[in-house]
Amino acid sequence: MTTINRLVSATLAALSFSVSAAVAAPQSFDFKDPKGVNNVQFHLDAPLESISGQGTGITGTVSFDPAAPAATTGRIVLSTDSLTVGNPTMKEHLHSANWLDVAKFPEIVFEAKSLTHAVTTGGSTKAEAKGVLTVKGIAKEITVPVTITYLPGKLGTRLNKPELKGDLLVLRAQFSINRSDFGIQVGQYANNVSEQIELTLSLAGAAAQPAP
Amino acid sequence: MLLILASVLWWSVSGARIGWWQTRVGVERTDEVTGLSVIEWRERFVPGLETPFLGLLLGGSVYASTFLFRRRIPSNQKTT
Repeated sequence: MTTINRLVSATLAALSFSVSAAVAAPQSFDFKDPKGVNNVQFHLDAPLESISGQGTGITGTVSFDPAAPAATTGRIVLSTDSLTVGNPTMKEHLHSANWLDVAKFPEIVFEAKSLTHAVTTGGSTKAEAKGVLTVKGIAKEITVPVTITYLPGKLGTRLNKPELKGDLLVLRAQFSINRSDFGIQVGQYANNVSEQIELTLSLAGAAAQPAP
Repeated sequence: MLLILASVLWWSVSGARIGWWQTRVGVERTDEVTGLSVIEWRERFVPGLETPFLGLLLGGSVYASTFLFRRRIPSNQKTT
């Protein structure tokens, strides 16, 4: 092998290493959705009519590496003021000091610390996210089943800006919490409103690539 | 009777909702790229169970008040 050949091989090897290192690096996905689709829906059973609503005031970031989905961590914040239902009186009760006390606790936070039992099929990873959920100032460790879908290069398509390069990360989760665990009307209205709150998270985060 | 019928009719025509009054209605919108759905709220009044109940209460009250304010017919004019 000539010296030039050796030099070319070494350069190519160095280049491929740096490219793969760049691809494998974790990306930070921003969950403040410009399209306003990100939402957390909640559902409580009640005798006459179940109480259902949603919150759309979502922010936060998630660190995701397509090469190592199990290493995903992040923090999702829901503004409690954005929680709403169809009935205005019910919404007033929900925001009041007796229920979520929106004035005193403006945020509900989930901090994902680690992912376990991660199974990746195609661009989708099913796993259990272990983390800390903070509601009304009470933090509890919980495990949430999540589905993470990685959509490379789809940011521009979603925002109708083909010139915008970047990836999307879609998070879906469905789980229940007990309202008494988070100090919400502990031991109250047991016959009128269910103890369990069913939560459904539908979130999309974006990682824009800097323009060349 | 008219009040009761009107309230039941209004409630039935509006979907006979077994729930409370709503001033906003949720309509689902789906994002094509991510497949995620969100509820968009639109201002619209949907009568709940309070409507026929209030109609019954109001109709019943009006009917009961007719007994209170009924003009008394003198006993000698009651029968001929």
